[in-house]
Amino acid sequence: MILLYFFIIFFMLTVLSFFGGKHSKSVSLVSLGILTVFFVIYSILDFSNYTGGVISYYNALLASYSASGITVHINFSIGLTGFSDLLVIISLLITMFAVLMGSNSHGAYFYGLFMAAGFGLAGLFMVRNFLFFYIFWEAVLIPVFFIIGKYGTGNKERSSLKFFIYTHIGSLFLLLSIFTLSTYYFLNTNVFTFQIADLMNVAFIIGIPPYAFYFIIFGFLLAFLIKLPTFPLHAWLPDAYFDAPYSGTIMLSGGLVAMGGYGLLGILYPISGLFPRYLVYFIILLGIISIIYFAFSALFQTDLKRMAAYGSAAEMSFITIAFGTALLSTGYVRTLDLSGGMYQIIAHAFVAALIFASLSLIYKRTGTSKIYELGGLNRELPILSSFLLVGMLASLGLPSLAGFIGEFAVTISAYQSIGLYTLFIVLGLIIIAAFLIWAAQRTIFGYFNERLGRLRDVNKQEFLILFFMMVASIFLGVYPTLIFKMLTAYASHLGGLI
Amino acid sequence: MVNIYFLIFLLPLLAFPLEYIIGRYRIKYSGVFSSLMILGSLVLVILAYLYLQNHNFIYSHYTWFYNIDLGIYIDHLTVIMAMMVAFMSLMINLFAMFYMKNDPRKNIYFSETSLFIAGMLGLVVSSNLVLFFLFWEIVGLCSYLLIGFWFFKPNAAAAAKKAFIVTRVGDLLFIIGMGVLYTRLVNVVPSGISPLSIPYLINNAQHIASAIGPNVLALATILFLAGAVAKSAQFPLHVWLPDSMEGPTTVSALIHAATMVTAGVYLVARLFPLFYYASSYSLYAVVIIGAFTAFYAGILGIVVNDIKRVLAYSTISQLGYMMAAIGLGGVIGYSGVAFGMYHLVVHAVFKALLFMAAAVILLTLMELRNIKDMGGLFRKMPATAILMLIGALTLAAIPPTAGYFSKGQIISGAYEYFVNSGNIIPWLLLVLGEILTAIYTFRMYFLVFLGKPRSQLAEKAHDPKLIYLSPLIVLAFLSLTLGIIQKPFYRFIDGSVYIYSPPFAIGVLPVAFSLLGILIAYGIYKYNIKGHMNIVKNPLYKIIKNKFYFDRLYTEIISERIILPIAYLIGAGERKYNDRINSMGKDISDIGTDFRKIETGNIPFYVAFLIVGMIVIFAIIEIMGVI
Repeated sequence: MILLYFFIIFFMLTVLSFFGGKHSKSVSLVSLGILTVFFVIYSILDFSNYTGGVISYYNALLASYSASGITVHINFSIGLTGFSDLLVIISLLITMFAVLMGSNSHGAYFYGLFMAAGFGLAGLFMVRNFLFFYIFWEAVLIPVFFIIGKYGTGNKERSSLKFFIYTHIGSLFLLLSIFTLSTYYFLNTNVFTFQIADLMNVAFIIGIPPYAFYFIIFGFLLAFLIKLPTFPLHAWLPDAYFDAPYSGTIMLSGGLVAMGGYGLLGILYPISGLFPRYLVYFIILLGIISIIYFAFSALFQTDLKRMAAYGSAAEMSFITIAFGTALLSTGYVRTLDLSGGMYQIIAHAFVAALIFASLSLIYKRTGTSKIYELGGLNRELPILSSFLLVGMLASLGLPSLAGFIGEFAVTISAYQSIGLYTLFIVLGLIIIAAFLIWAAQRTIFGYFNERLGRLRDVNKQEFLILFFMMVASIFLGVYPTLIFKMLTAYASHLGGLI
Repeated sequence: MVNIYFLIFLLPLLAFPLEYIIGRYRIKYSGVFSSLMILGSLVLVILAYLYLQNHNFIYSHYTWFYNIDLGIYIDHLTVIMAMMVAFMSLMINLFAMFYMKNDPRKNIYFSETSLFIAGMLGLVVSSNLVLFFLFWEIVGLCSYLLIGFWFFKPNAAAAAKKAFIVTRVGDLLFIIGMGVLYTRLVNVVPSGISPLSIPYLINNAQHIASAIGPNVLALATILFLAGAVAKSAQFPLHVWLPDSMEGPTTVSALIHAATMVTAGVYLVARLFPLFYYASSYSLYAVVIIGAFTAFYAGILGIVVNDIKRVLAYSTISQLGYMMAAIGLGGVIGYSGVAFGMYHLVVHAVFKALLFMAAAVILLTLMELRNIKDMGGLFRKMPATAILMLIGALTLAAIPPTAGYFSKGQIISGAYEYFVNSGNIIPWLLLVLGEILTAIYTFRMYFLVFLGKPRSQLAEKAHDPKLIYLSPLIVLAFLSLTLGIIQKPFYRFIDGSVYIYSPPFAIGVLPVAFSLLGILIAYGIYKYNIKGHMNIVKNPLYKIIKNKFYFDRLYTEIISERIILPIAYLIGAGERKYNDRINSMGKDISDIGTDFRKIETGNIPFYVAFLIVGMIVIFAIIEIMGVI
């Protein structure tokens, strides 16, 4: 029940934030703060003895119809798994960061949109019903569409439209898959329902004819892989990231890509043991191509923000790889692999937020994010450039920072399923290191570009925001077990037949 | 209860933020706090050493995540290494307080070196390969930051980048090595033990080899070796170390003596049982890489004119000796590790001495590093000259310095290796390396100290106050006297060590070669002095001067001709792809325009279209058999 109250309160606060007037930034911050504290305490209490599966389950029958042996159930049900609980916390925190990094000049509408996006994310991770899953999947899209289109820079209208249409195509296939799935469930049992627990059931899915099954997984995979994004379904990403305001980019990279990862590992995984083997190999191949492709694309960029966007996409490829390789692994290795993939989503949210937040502050001071217009920033902005450097190092997977645990877990487990092809993952990691270190050398070190003039380093407020993100990145890298325990508990009870 | 020995690396780690904060407010106290913390670590290590006199190991561990644990494992090998690291770091840190005293950012320097030292100590005592790797990377990161400490020098930033990326290549191969071991061992280990726990791996190596097969184990060890090769700057990943001289000289001393490059050798020594029980080619790879590097870097060292670079090549070469010594273990057993570790310790002492002496010289010469512009410094700074002479003699392994004992034993071991296995290559390379070592060391020494000053700055050179030289004096004393602990040292590492004494002629050969090398060096010096400073046009000289084109292979071929074009292709392709997607809206409206042509307004045409369409639809339904 508490979860339901949380849900309702979140919704009301979201609505409230639209009417906050000129205090709306503080209103959003205070509400997010309260919600986060509340939720963290709640999940500490609830998850102290977590052993897998869905807990804090709440189910309400919204509408039901039953006649002549046919039953229709429309449920609203929410619940948490170890994975989705963490994702809700992440979405709250990321929304908070995004709001914090938002410029004070924006009005209530701006912050309301962020609250709405945050609410959509939290709702998406909580619901256990496909109908509402779809609704929230779309509900996140709309505020972000407006954030990019209204407050972005450059060719913002086109980018936002492209982002919307591109991801919407995925969503439509998702919807089709959901309906196909529930139709078959209806044909089998005469019960029409959208409950995830019922539909994502191996015993039921095994009876679906193959072409329908392929259609279903095609829809799911398309939606999730677009969101992740995976090569070649990533075309929305660079423009959306680049043209969004920096807070929007934080929201996109920290929150929205988690949707795809959650879809793969949290929703689709239980039935993916039924995937044909070549499809699994194909997914792994896509993951590996993505990491290399995005890393090389990033190397080619001349703009830090765009480079960070591709870097973020390259990081997220680990989730595709984890998803694929876990299907081929067994025992401990599979659990480690899945947990590593999930951990990567969480770690990446903080790391990306740290990078984009530092870039935003650098942009605010220098008015540019072009690599060749910057240089030697360490002289004028020592603290800010340290934050950026920590973000970059975390992103390239330096141990003791957040990015390492997930990348490490995925890479070492990959050996069991794909053997020495792991070298390709490592190749991607080398390129990631190369472009980040190259960018650091050009922007943070080297000669200072005197045309930028005197620059003022971070003020107290900015310092605290960045410091918190940095501490989070270090904490996640040094003391992962708290989170990892929840993830392994969840992951060790996931299915997988191969 | 938390084991007190965790403080070995936690104390310097504590100094990392505190040095920075203290320095922000009271910059003149920078370095005091970190030195105290390192001293604390040293005391703890000595306590551990005393404890290990009658115990075998100290082991304490907790779960880190999943079945990876975090903890410390200290045995005889570890305690020696840790003692060396803590002691050398302390000496260098004390000296750095003098060397860096006028730097406005010295608080950052000391906080970064604290992290560096903490990383190295943590690496040495860690009980799990993953934790080991964590510290390994922290060490790499700190070397990156410290090499680029004078970030406003583009050379420094480039060298830092190079160091980071080259070592990163090795590190990532190291990860795969762990992957191989982890995925194979996870079902083999008894429950409750992490598959990557170091004590488990080294104490059950034979069992592991039979459980997962010696070839798989060899694959893992070769991948570990790749990590070690990158970290210890062995051929062919040695290119980063000479460039890393752009940082402050004390950083070079740290990197070369205590905190970085020895990590690779230590890794191989630590996991020696795995190497030993894996297929024989894994240790063979170690010995060949080591011996070849020892020889190869010696050649490169002869033609370099930068005082720090000469020392850098000497480090690469000496690391080759250590690596080769451990590799010899394939035939002579664990004694190889003892030989290698002894040389590691001796090398740390004299290399730190040499670097600090170089730092003294560079300080008075205002960072003028070309030895051809020096000369005559023996008269100008006699104390430094004598200290450096001791270091150089130790490096060239002239008796009775410690270098003679440590390196002589490795070469004798290599001869034993030849006798037992019939493979003469390691011995040959190592013994020829001996001549080269003497040549490059004394060529540098003569050019720096003999003759007349060849530049304005060299005219004005002078010794610093003796108090600043005290760390050097301690190290010089150790260089001369460490030889007496040779045998106890060997026995501490390996209880059943067998010290080889080859035939007299073979045994005396290295010393003869060293003396010969010094003579040759004097000849080169005379030749150089007589106005033949820069006239060497010999093609062989050119090849060596260009470092056998390895740097150019990496930068010009691999990065510029392969990586960059690929990035360019992919990046340009990505841009095309993006444009394509962007213009898709227009494509769709174009298709609409095309379809509009069907709307002719002609009724019979519509009817015909309808009929054809229905036929097609029914045909599809019929074929698919849906209804």
